[in-house]
Amino acid sequence: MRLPDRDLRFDRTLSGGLIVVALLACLTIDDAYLLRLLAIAGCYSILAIGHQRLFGELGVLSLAQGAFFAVGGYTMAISSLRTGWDGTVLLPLAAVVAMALALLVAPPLLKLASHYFALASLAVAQLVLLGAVNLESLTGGSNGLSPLPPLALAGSVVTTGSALAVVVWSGVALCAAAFWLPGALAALRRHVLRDAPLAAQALGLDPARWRLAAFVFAAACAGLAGGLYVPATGVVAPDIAELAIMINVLAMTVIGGRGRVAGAIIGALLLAFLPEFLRFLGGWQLFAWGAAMLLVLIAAPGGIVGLLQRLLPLRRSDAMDGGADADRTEALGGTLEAQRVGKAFGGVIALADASLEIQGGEIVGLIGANGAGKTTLLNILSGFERSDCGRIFWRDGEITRLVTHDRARLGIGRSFQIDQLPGDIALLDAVAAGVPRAATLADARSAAMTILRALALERLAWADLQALPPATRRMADIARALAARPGVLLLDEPTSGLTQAERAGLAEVLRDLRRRGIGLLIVEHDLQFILPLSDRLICLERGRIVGEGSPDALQSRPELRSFFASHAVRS
Amino acid sequence: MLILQLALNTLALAAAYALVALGFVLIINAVGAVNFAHGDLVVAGGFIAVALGAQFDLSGIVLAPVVIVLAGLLGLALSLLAYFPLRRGPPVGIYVSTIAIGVMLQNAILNLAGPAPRRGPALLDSAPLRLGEIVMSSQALATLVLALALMGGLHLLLERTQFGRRLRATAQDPMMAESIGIDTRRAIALSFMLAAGLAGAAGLLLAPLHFVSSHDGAGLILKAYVATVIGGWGRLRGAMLGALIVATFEIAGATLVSQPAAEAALYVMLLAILWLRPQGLFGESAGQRA
Repeated sequence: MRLPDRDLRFDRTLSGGLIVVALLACLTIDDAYLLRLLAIAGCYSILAIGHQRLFGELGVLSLAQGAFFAVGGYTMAISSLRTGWDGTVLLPLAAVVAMALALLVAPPLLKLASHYFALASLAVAQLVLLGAVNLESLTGGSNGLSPLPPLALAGSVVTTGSALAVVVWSGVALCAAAFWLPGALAALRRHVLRDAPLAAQALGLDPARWRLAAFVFAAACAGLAGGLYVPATGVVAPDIAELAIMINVLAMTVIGGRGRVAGAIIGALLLAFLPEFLRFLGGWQLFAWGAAMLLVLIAAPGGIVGLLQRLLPLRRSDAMDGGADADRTEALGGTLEAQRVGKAFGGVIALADASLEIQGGEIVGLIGANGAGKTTLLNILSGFERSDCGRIFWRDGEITRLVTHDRARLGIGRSFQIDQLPGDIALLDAVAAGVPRAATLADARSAAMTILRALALERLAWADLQALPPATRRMADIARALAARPGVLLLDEPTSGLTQAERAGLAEVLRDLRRRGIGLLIVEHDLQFILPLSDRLICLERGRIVGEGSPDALQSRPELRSFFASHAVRS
Repeated sequence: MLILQLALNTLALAAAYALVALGFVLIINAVGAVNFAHGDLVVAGGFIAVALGAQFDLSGIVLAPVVIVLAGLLGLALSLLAYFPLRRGPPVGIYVSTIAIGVMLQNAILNLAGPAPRRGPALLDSAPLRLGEIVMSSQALATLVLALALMGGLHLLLERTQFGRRLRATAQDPMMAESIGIDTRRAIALSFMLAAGLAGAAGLLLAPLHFVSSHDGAGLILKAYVATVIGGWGRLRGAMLGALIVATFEIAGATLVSQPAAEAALYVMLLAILWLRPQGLFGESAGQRA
């Protein structure tokens, strides 16, 4: 199980140690060749640190990371040849140009689901390579550009290999610090965004914004790395735009350990120094890296850092005492209203002309056969699907055009028919990830603890989500939805997979939420569960609302007798 | 008459690209993940043809079954090494593992065959065909015929046989397929073999007309991707139409401007389509389908 604060602390300690050792090595080593390798390892580290944010943490596989490296390198080489500016201008320029390219290609790329993103980013990489080879007046074509002027920093020329290596490794320290700046709570949220994207949106996290931030950060690191790589090697040629660089980045992050700065640094050191010991492989080195990558993926998915961390005794998180009970009782509730919404999927009408209202502090049951449009209605209310017509209002404002994460931030929460919980983290953290406006992980955890206590789940706070039984996962999904402090909660078949006793417990919890002023819309098949619980029932048949009112009144209506009869058999 | 010759060449190239694209889509449909080594499998097929042609002095048509079977075995190895050990994990693991296999293939080819582009054995040892005034390259014609035959065979295999129904059931819903007694592991392994076999055949067809070199894989998988994005997903006709557009673009661009410019324009077009029409030019969404 991963604990974001412990992982972050481990990463900081290990990477900090590695950077200090590298800096000491830069100052003490006298061998020009070793210093050159050390500088190259530093450049690789920076390149891979960027990739850790995007690929390592968010699981977005960009194959353009090597291309941004090349863009940084060429920017550095071309502008130093043409302007003779100082490194204090040129290095940031290399990063900025790479970032600008990232922003330029982001609109088409970031819309895509994972592997299509990877392929589209490969197209960007191929474009950069074509540019490097064919724009001869700018890039020098296949021969590249050389000789290049040495790097000058603040007016003084960096002449020795030792000084250059120190500059590069200072860059590593800078990028590592930038990587850690958002803190453990942000790392937790990225984990949820990667593992449970639907839940993340229902909690008010905007995946597009996080992906864009990571993509631009990755490009900035790559640009800076390329800018430093050019003075470290003394030339620039199209080989820095070739796919081999990209493969190196992947090998570094996978073998070193995904999502960690230390993984990037260890991977980079291996990739820079190991070839010295692998000379006997001749041209088969890249083959060996491919094989090593495959082996690590299968046998040790956490990479070297994961293995190191496993060797250390599993120290529990400092905050594991549970944190103080944050007593934040705010006014909840509000009225959610849908006016004549409808939805058709390619000619099949899933929902037609549906109007309904859910007020704070009431439980509304939504029943109907499979395919009656219940989940479609829930998706339209929570914003996962856009209705073809009609309008939706929440607390006096219209939200028809808002996307899921914006609606979630305004207080519309939901659970899912199949629970959308991230794997590999503690229950408390899964809930904490959804706490809005929390400054630190500790704050978010204490708010999450309050919710768990209300649901009598506090004993399981530090349990691994994956190890929880179905009934507890169901409750965990509700706890997760509650973390965002919703005014109205939309639950999709909350009793599925629960025993009778567990259903009774759940009913109690839902009544308690009602007492606290939260409005609840519950999609349910189990009439024995929903009839006594609901203040009102809405009956849905083939996409239309065929009845609405108190459970007793509806059951006595003659025209709905067959509707209820068909349900009684089911449940 | 030059126009006719160019049109025939374009059709031949399109047919080879369609085979690449079909194998590419076959895997996406079967396992919901992209096989990033697919382009390298095409290159491997090309080099297998080069090696066999040099060894035995046989024409491409005769070698075709051997190349397809050998490439299919590479596909089987790929599924065993890179897919099955990771199928329970997140799909991004499979992208990286197939990239790793692609690197290994590419590097192995580079070391065994050298960096220079190579030309594969001719498909037929015959002179150009003459129809009155019109001279047609028998190579291009044979490429077209062989590719169409393979596509027809694939269509029959998938639509008309029990084996094809099993593959499609597995692709649609593996759990359901499992529950009605289909061995989904076997079906998936066979899908990989089939896709790799198609890739190998495409390599064999591309090698005599266009040289192959070890680093062509990235460009080939991108062309397959562009073809499927343009043509819409999952359908034979879509992939063929997309491949035709890619090939037209490439040959017309290379004839009128230059080969790198045509390639760059193709990638820019891809990004523009993804941005403006993610549902593809002719159909389903290219962005969200997985």
